[in-house]
Amino acid sequence: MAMSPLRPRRGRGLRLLSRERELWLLSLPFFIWVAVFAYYPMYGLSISFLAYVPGKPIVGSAWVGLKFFIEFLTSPDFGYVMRNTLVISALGIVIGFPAPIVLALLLNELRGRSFKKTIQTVSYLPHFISWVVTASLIFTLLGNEGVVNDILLRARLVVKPINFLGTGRYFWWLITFANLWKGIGWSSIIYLSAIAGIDPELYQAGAVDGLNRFGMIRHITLPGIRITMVLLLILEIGSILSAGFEQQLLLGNPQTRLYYEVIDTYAYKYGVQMGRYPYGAAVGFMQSLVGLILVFSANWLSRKALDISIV
Amino acid sequence: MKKHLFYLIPVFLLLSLSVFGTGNKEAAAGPPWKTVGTNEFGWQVPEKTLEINFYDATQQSPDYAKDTTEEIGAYILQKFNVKLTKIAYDMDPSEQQSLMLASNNYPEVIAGMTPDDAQKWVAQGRVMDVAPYLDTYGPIIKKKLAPLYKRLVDAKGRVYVMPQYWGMLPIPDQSAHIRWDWWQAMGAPKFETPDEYFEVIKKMQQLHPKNARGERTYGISGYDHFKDILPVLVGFWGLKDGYKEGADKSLTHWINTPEGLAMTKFMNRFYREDLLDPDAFINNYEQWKAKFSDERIVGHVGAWWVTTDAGHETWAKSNPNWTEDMRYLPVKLKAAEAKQAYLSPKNTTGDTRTIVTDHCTQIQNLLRWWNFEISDTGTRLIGWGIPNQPDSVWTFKNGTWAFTDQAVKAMLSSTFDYDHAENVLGQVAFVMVAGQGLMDDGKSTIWFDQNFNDQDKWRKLMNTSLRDTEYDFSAFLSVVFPPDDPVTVTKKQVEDLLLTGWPDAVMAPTEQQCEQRFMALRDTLNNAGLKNVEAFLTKGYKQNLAAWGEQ
Repeated sequence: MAMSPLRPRRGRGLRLLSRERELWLLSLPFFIWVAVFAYYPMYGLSISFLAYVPGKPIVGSAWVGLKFFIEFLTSPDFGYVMRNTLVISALGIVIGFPAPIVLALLLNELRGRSFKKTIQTVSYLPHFISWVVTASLIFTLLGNEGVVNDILLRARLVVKPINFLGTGRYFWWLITFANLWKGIGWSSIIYLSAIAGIDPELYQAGAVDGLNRFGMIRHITLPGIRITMVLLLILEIGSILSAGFEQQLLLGNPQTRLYYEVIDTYAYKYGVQMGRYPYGAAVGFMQSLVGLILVFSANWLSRKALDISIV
Repeated sequence: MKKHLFYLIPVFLLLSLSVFGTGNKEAAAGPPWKTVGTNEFGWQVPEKTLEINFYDATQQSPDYAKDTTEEIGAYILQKFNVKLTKIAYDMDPSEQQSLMLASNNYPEVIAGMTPDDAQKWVAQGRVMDVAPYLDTYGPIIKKKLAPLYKRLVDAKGRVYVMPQYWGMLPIPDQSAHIRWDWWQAMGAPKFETPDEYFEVIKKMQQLHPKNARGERTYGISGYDHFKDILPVLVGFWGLKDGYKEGADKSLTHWINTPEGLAMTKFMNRFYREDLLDPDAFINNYEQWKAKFSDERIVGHVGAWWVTTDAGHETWAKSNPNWTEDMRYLPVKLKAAEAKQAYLSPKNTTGDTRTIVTDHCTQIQNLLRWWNFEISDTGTRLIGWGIPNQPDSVWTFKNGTWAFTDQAVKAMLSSTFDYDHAENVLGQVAFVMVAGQGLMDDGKSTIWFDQNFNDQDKWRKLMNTSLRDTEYDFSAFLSVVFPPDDPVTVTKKQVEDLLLTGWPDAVMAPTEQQCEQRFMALRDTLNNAGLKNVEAFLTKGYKQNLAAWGEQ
């Protein structure tokens, strides 16, 4: 009788499981966590195709297909909401992505250990400040009677205060630099740890070959952290449709709405706040789907071009 | 086997009938209600504590709710053996209610709801019909609400939604405001129209260009994006709550009217002449209040209690040199082209609603309490707070009530401590179904500070100035936007676009540009579906008028 081709594999799998049982046992809580908190709630996505009303059972809600997706795509708000999301994300990638790399490189070049630690700590601190406090700081700085306008008026550079917070066209830059201020130090940690992992002998060899500090950064440090940079860039591209939430709600106001409203805030206002959960779910689902496609696309591109990928 | 089943079916039927039969008797007679006597308020004190939990859907902070209910809650428990628990959340009430519905976790009563939110609960079958219980357990409720009953009852005779703060309080709320002492010092120049008011405010700002701290002043400001102020502004031009009412009762949004353009140009003048606070469209209430209390805002449009709170009540506490003339007086404005100024719309059904949810297990006993709450004595207790204490504002002895001298004196001298009245005496902390109209004596009302309008010279001045500016607009204010109707989304889109575009028109550098921006905004709103919103409101308004027999 011919042996089943699966048998030996199953046996090998079981032997492997038995040999690595401690590792599997350690991983078990995380598998359960992912299953319960990441996969199980996914059934809720079904409401984006149903006429679900909060409080009524999901099962039994009428099937409406792509109604809510089409409603969002044909909404008069879709154009500027999508534009704001893409622009804020793009600015975040163009400015916010390289900034922590530059900071990490600069910090790595510092020689005084205590000075370096102090600068590092100072740069992390904004990460721990809530957006509510950050928004108040920004109001104090950029309000019509804020510090910046006070300086401009005293220096006679302007006749009337500049309405930074009430003018739409400033908003994209405002949010980009607010995000940068809060996140630059924290994001640089991963690059600093990647830099720390570079073999010091490479720098010694570079010095022997006559490389100056810029040369070492260009030929040793940057190639050494290339994998980290690419992986983080792929993840960043995947979240291109998630351009923020709290910061928009706190820093934005009706005057700047046409520049601050992004997909997340729109889904919250027109979905959750109005009790239209299926609409909010449909917008969120679409956002996740596009994010997933972008991650895989960026990953594919990176594998082809740089031979680096996350999956 | 089939034979056995055949015999079992009637047994099950009999059993279920007996179960449902018992249930019906329970619903009619209600849960046990033994009393141990009648207290001084005429309430039959139950032997077993009656517990009522209610969510106040007005976005109160939990700390505030706890502070304001603690003392009066203990008093009611002691005197009435009724334990009232108010649940409050900081978050958006509509969002909170959606979560409650989705999680099936909500108390037996929800009060302070918007009519739209209340309708969501009704549509889902989560609300109990109180009509069958009113005759037995709520005779006072039925008597008091008799004039409004046909607004509350549906086609099948069911009453799902109860009004809160219902009734007509014939007192104006909204208007323009003038700083009294500064105006007197100017020789009290007369003004009647918005343009004349502008000139007075302009002159006043020129006379007071800086406050005591040397900070510059502005002619006018606003808060919360002018949401509450806009309907008052167009009211000067004769529009009702932001809508122009046609002879056929059709309603047109102010953006589609020449009056709306005139109002926007009026505001644009403040901007062009550097009299508009640059933060006018960004301020929240607290930020506006800080500026106003610092005497940096010369004029105001809005509710009288706003300038009272931010003005003389703050100054009386913080300024040792405060004199009673340092205050704002609400004053009427009427555009020359308007027949009448409509400034204070009144909803005699109340602005908010209360429901009994399907989680209530003793609706009969709940209605016993509401029957007391809605009575004149109950309304006084719930409205004016704990009586008969040294710091109380009223006494109630042997069935007779009276205001305390110290409270009246404090009220008339503008030194009344509202914080104490709320936090210690628990004024209006437990309102579920009480009304705000005039009570048995034809004078008193649930709002303690509104009981002295005939004695307080400032209130007399205000009421004289604002005579005939309040109007019953219940049929309009009771139009409900169904949650699943596309017009509800359109309404929100239009509101959002309006709040974004209107400041742009106000802050135009020239009057011509102001008009251009106004017209562009009009087109934007109409393209977004404003006409559908107008049609929906007109239809609902006319239906309410017809159903209530007021057309």
